[in-house]
Amino acid sequence: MFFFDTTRATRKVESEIPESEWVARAAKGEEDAFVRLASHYRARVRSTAARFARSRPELEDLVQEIFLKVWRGLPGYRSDAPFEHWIMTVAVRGCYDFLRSNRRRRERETLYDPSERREDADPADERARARREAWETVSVLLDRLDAKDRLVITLLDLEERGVRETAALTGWSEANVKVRAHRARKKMRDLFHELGLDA
Amino acid sequence: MKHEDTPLDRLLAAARDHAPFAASDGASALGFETRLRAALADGAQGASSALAECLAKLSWRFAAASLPLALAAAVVLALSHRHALPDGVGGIVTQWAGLFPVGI
Repeated sequence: MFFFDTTRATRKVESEIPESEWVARAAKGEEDAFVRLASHYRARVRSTAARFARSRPELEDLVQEIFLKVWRGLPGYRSDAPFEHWIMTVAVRGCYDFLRSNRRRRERETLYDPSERREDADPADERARARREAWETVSVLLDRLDAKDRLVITLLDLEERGVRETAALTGWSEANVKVRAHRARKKMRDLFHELGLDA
Repeated sequence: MKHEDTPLDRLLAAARDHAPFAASDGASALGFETRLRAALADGAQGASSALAECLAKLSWRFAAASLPLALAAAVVLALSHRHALPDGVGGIVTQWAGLFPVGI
């Protein structure tokens, strides 16, 4: 019996379609095209959003909210900027909105998701544990900063994005990014001493 | 980005290498697609309630700032129509009833 794997053939044809075509289709309201784009960019968006969420469900909600913003904003996307840059701008601004709207709740709630502690690839790995503990300590400090300070420290010092890129992602001027980063780092240093972490 | 080497810098450098909630497998990607499609469907149905949601999200600060403006607008409207504020509650009701397009 003749058998032809249509799924593989369809995948091959789909992979040959340029991204701009998927974007155009999604902007016209084609849901399948949008879901394909979202799946492609999910890991990148999730990686940035993970610096702002404090539990896995919160992270999944934040990522979904970001993609809904992308969906709503797609008709206004102009192809003069790369799509990846545009989607990351929406993601960063979504994270900023999330920080602002959840600030009070974050101050009241416990700090860490216990599931994080169970998910180390190797519990005996000292370096992985040290990195996780460093992240938890940094989170304590970041939680005490306001949303803009936290955002700028996360983008510059944790994601290692440059001043120009941070300015583009946040919509702030480069001078504003530098000034805010300077002030935020000073606040973090003060908190670091205040909490006795330098001992 | 940073060129200093303080304890805080070392802490940030170590934290940078930790990827929070890193595990991401095919099953969760499938869950993501399902959830996203459901959210898109909800969004299409609930588009008409967008204004109500937008209003519901307005903060109390915005409300506090808007109230004096709304009162001022009401006073200006009243003055522009009758050039004088009405006396008492009955006067206000009569005046505003006159602004409605239907007879009350």
